[in-house]
Parts: sequence; C-alpha cells; structure tokens
Amino acid sequence: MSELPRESLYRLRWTLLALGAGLLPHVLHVPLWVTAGVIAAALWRLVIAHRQRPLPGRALRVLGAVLALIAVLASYRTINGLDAGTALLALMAALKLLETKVLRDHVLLILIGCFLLLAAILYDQSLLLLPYYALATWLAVAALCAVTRESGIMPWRRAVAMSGRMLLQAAPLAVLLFLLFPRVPGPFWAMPNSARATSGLGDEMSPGEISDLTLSDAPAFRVRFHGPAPSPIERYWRGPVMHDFDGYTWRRARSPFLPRQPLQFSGPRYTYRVMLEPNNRTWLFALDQPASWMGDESVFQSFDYQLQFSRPVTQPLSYELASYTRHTSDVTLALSVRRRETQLPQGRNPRSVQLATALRAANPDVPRFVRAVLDVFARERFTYTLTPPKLDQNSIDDFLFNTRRGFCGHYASAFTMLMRAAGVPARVVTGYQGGVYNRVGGYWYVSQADAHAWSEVWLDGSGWQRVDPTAVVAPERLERGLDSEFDTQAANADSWLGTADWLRQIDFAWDAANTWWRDRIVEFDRFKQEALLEWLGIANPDWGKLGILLAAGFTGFLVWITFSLRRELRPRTSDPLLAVYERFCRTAARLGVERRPEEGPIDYGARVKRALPEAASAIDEFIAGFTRARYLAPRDAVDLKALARLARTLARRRTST
Amino acid sequence: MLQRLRHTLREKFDRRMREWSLKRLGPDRLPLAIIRRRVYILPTSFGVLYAFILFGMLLAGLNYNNNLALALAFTLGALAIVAMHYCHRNLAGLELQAIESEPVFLGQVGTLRVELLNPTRLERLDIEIRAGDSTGIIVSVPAGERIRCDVPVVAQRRGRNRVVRLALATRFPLRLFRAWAWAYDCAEFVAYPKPAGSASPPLIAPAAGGRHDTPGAGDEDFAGLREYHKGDSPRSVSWKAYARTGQLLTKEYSGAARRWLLLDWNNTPGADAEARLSQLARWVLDAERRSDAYALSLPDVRVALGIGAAHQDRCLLALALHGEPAETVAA
Repeated sequence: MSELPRESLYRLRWTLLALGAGLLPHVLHVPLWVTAGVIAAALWRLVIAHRQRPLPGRALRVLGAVLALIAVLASYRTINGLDAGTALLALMAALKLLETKVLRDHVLLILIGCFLLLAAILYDQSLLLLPYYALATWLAVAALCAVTRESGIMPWRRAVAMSGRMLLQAAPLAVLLFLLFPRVPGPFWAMPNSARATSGLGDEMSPGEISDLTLSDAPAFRVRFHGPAPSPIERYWRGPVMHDFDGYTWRRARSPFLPRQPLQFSGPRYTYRVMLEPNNRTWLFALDQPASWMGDESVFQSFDYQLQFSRPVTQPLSYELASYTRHTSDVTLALSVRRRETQLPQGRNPRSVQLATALRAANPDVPRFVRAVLDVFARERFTYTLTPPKLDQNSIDDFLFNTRRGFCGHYASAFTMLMRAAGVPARVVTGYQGGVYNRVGGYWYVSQADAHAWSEVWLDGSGWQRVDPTAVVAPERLERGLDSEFDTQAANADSWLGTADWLRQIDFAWDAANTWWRDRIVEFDRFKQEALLEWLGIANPDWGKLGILLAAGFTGFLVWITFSLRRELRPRTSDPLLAVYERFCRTAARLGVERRPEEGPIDYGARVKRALPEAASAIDEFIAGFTRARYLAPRDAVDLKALARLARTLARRRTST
Repeated sequence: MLQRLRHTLREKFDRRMREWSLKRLGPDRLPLAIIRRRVYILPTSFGVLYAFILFGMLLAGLNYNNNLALALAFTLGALAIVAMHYCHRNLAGLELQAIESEPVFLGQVGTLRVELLNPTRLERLDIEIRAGDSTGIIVSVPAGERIRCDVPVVAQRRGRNRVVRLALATRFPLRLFRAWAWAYDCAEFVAYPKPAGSASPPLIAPAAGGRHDTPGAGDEDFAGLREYHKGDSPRSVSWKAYARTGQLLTKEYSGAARRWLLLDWNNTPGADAEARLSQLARWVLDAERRSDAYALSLPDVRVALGIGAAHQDRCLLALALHGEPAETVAA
C-alpha cells in the first residue's frame, strides 16, 4: 500500500523526533563523524520526502552499511560493548532511515530510538538527566501513537495527550515491577571495561611530578553515620596504601601475599554507610580501621587493612561499615612485612638518608624519633601550597633541602622515606580527610578536593599508627577543607545578607536530592528489596513470596485498568432517568428478555414480567415509576434513587439465581 | 505442498472457531453488538518484536545493574499491557447494525454496505472491516455516531454467496495487539454468472428495419402520463405534475426495441451449465445495450419479454440462481 506524501512526511517527522531524542545524549561521547552521518542521513531523507524523490538504491545502502561497520571497527577496534554498540546502532538507524517506506520501518526506527535511550541511561543515570529521559520516553510513545494511525492523521496534541495518559496509567504497574521484580546480582556476561577517565586517587603517587593540583568539588563518596560522627581530626578515610618507593614514585604493592596483623579496637565504634561514586577502581573507602562490613559479599580486606572490591566500581555502590579510630596491635611485625615496609632504593636521596640516620642516632626510641622528624617540618620554613615546583629525580632531597613547598603528598612521601631510612617500618596511605556536612540530607559529603595523603608508622607494642606530617605544617588544612579559599568565600558571604548561604542551601538540597535518588533508586538491589518487603510485614522474603506479591499486584492492576477504561464504554446518555432505564433493560436482557427496538417501556415491562413472574411486583413498580417520571410528572418530583434501587433488586435477583 | 497444508489447517481452524462461536454465543443475528465476550486479542508481529526488544532491555538493565534502564523496560512493558486494554476496548461495544449487498458479476469485486453504530462516548479509531478473505477497509467511528462504509467482497461462486465471516479488527493504538471480532453468516450477496461467449442470440421476430413497440411496458422512452393506480412505484409518479395539478399521475414509458430475442437455455451453446449461463448473461447485457427486447427461458424459470434495467436485473438474478433451491429464487 503506497502512502500519501502528506502522511509519509508526517510519519517521517515523528520518527525522526523519536530517533533524535534517543541519539541526543550520545552526541557527547560518540565520535563526531557518527553524529554528522546520522544528521546527513536524516536531512537527505527529509529532502527525498519533500520533493518526492525515489529512495537510494540497494547497492548504495549495502555500501553504506559496510562502510559504517568498517569505520566503527577502525575507531573502536571492536563492535562489541556499549561504546561501539551505540555508534553502530546509531549508524544502522541512519541507514534504515534511507529505506524507510512502510509503517513497519517507522515503528522499527522508533524502537531503535528507545534502545538508544536505554544505552544513554546505561551511560548516565543521574537525577539531572531524569527529566530528559522521561520526556524522551514520552516522545517515543507519542511518536508510536502518531505513526501507527492507519486511517488519517493524528493531530500532534492528541498523540501527546494520549501517550501521556497511557504512560500515566502504566505507571502503577511500572512501579510495581520496579519494586518487586527479582533482582539478580552480578553481571551475566563480562562487560568490556570502559576506559573512561576517572578522577580521584590512583595506583601510584608522584608528588614531584605535579606542579598544579587542581581540585574538583566532584563527589568521591557520601557518608551517613548511624550515630555520632567522629571529630574532624579523626575523619581519615583510608584508601589505597603505597608500599613501594623508587625515590620518586610511590606504588601499591604488586604482591599482596603478606600477613595481616590483627588489631585490638578501643574507643567508640562508629557505624555508617558509605555511598561511593563510581571510580573504575577496585578499592573502597572506610573510616580509619574498619571492623566489619556488610552489603555485597564480594568485599575483602587486604594485608594493609584496605577494603577491596572484586571488580572495578563502575556503578554507584553503597556499603555498611563499622570502624574504630583507636586500635593497637601487640604482636611483633612479621619479618616479610617489616622488610617490605623499610625497603628503599639504593643510592637515591642521599642527603635525606643522612638526615634520618643522624636523627635516629640522637633518638633511639621510635616515638621520640617520629617527634624529632615532625619537628624538622615544623621548625624549618616549609610551606603548604597547591602549586609546588616540580622536583628532580631525588625528589625527597630536592623537597627537604631545596624547595620546601608542597602539599600533603610531598610531606607524607618525605616523612615515610625518612622513617624507612632510619629502619622504622612506614608506608604512605592515600585517601580523604574531612568532608562537609549536608544539613538537608543529614550526611557527610566527601569531595575529590578532600583527597589527602599521610603516613602510617609501625610502633612496637601499639602497631600501625597514623602520623600526618601535613598537620604539622598546615594544621588548618585538617580543620577545614583543603580548598580554604572556598571557606573564606563562604565566610565572607555569610555577612552579605546571607545570599551565599541561601545558595549553599540550594546546593545542599540538590545534593541531598541526588543522594536520595542514588540511594533509593539507582542502588535499589535485592537487599533493599528485602528490606522493603520486611517493612511491608513479610517475614523472611524470598523469591517465592516475591512472585506471589508480584502476581497479586499484577492482578490488581489488571482489574483496575479494566474498570477504569470501561467507564468510557458506557452509552452516551446524559439523562440520568434514561440511564436508570437502560440499566433495567440491560439487566432484563441478561436474564433473557431483550428489548426489541420498537418496544416501549410498558410492553417491554409486561414481557419481562411474563418471563420473571416472581419479580412481577418490583417490575410493575419500576415501570410505573419510570413512565410516570418520563411522561407525566415534572422532573424534580422524580425519585431517581428509588427507581435505581428497584433496578438493582432485579439485578441482584440474577446473581442469586 | 506446505502452502496446501497451511491452507487446510487454516480451514480446519476457521471451521472449529465457527463451531465454537456457535456453541458459545449462538447464531449471529443483526443488529449484532460486539460485546466483550466476542472480542479476541493477540499480539501482532510488531508486538512480538517489541517484546523481544523489551527482553533485551531487561537483560541489559540487569547485567549492568542499572535500575533506571530497568525502569525504562518496565515502563514500556506496562505500557504494552495498557495498550492491550485500549485495543480491546476500541472494538468492544460497537454494534454491527446492518449489512446491505448488491449483486455482482462473478470475478468482479463487489461491495457490502456495512452500517456500524458506536453507541458509546468513546471515539473508535482505525477499525478494519473485512469480509472473508478479501482486503478490508479501515474506518473510524466517532462517539455516538453511525457510519456506513463499503466493504469489498469477492464472489467465490455463481449464485447466492454467504459471507461466512465478517471480521471487525483493530490494531489501535501502538499496533502492538490486534483485537478482532467475527460475525458469522450475517450477510449474503448474489453473484451473477460471468458474462462470456460469443454466439449470436436467437431471434423471435426479426426486426425488419423499422421500430416495433413492445407489448410490455419498458422504461426507456417517456410515452406519457396516466392516472395513478395503487401499487405504482413512487419513483414513477410525476411529482412535477402533482405539484402543478394536485393530481397523482404516473409516468408511462415505452421500450423502443429494435429486435425481439428469446434467450432460451435449450438453444444456448456451451460445454456445461456454467458456460451456458455465462453465454446467456452475455446475451442479456448485449441485448440491453442494443435496446433489444428479450425474454428468458430457463428449465425452471421463465421471464417474459421486456427491456430496461429492472428487467435485466430480473433476468440476471434468474441466471444467478439457476439450479439453486426454489424458495431462494422466490425471495
């Protein structure tokens, strides 16, 4: 069946809109030539439709498909995975557009648009984009409504209204499915690791390399304490621990098969929940020393007390923890660990080694030696700065005796190296320190700007203890954030009629909304599902109970939708009196006495009476009441309710027989 | 081979459905309300594709542990369920009020004039009406209105054709589902024999150049007015004259035939009955075109000499119903 040009153009516009809505979020990460290709194909197709030209030939389309495949292979080295798959799907949609003729092609393209939208969601499911996704879905459904009209054209307003109404009616079932659909943990197939750039801490640390540490306010993670929070000075969030030093760069241990020293905890126990941003790394952050953790079973602890995850964190992840900030270890340090944590490259940083040996000779007691080294930082003119000069290959010597300007990484690196040079086991710990309290959401916001590095030193009798040399140089760094400028601004602004405070409130509220979204929706998993069921009063929820609940909810939805849609099927009568009469007729028809088209109420009533002699009096009364109301009495004298009651008695009779 | 098997299976299925419908709902009579019990619904091929794509979305969402992707899949899935109810409701409650048919020559596409009533306050969009295996038409019925539409129909054989199954269907909205209802044996139409053959017709009296008035009245040429008798067709009443004079007068016509023909079954060449009927039909049409008066003689029916459209229809109907039970001829 050939289409009229007007209809074909109309369909094409809707299809292009739906497809475009699916493609738009990908424009930022798909190569430019893919976007250009899709737009070119869309324009070409529009020109063809406007001028009523023939579609491009088959040979051309096949050539296009082959070229697209080769181009995707060349730029991604694969056609698998989210990135390459998205690009390929977009190009194939563009090619399909060039052979779109019949209705089936249009609906297929709209479905491709939906799938592209899904891919966009796989990239980014932030609250910010939620309105866009909702609108794009609506648009796709409206396009489907409009395109599938077979006789005539559906006005766009009507398509939008109808699709909106259908989506609203579908919403209860969607929510039900979302809450009750069994969540299967883990991926079914290996996902290709997307090598997207991540901010935050890395596998290694070379303070000498950095001349300008740019701080971002991007979140690292958020923490909600279930009780009191520790004081700012104790809020050290441990992350990757660096063991291997080559004189310039600190690295994580390559062979972590070392014994973990047992810890004895004391002091308050802090229980909290960490909501980690995806960082493409395998490590998790914890307050100082975690004593226990809950959540995903794929969490384990390495020999340096660092929490590890079994796979890179590519999705937001939450976990429950309990930590202590005071701990001792009274065992002797295993020799293998001691050797590791005192290892230094030969012949590097000679002046520093000399300094350490001298200080150690003067202070044979380890705690006093630590104090002496810290005193060096305090006494000499060291400056805390985010724009330090670059350091040469003997980075510690250069820093200690020459530049004396640096940030936490420089101090932790130099301090640890001095410890090791004097034979004291020490290591660099990276992580975060501090955090801003969000009053709206009731949680701590730890940003990338809170990244920090410090040292841990082994003291015989008390185990690994934290020493933060930065605290000696810039104590205010620990009291506030790293980004002190931000705080001074905020302090100034407080006096400015409180505008900035107001802005800050909005900032807090937005972050709180994001956190809620992340915590409740994005991270909804089977644990939260179980918690929800328990909250609903279902003990020991399992898949069976979930299935029963889902089936019950689904049935309820079907009943609801059936009856809510049936309302519009009622006949078009505006007269309530006639409606009552029609009801009577329907009931009698169900009982086997159908009203003939030419039959009036009195004849019909007589016939019904003959068929149902036992209800004769009720029928008589009804017919008499109806005829009087319809033909004799003034309208306001009619007792409609009594009539309706009579009609109902007849209906009830039917159910009882 | 496979196609034949499919065909037989299809026929068997159709027969089963018909028997089932008869048992469940009784014989169908017009006016026929398409109640909910009459409406069947199944996914279309696009609906199946949609389901597959949703399944893919579900897998992707589960695999990437992406709840928003799952939410999209669930929303689109719930939408399909809602669309199913919309589709079913789009058909339920319609009333098939009447079906009129006109005779058609075998081999030509005829039409059924179907009258649909939408007694509800819901506009019905994209309702497909299809008679038997012919291609259907798609119409919309506004709320509370009644529409008439011409549904194409193809005659399977000469004579009285029953429309075994009239299907009302809809894929509105979203085309994910197709709801349909069947009305069995609600309409029939007559198929005239296909005009064929090239033999020349036998004459009763050759027209010797001049014109002969027919003994019977025709409806070709206006002859004059006469007094109205009870039983005269209102169509032949001269309403102009009535308006002028206030007297009912009937217009009289006289056929102006050139020849008189006797179209006799026994004198018709043809290999079998159908061929003879086709030849007779051809003769009838030719005679009418040439303004020859003609009489028809079949083994069981005779049509007296006459001319004009009504006469032609009478003759063709007699040809169409040749060999069928007598009471249907009388009807």
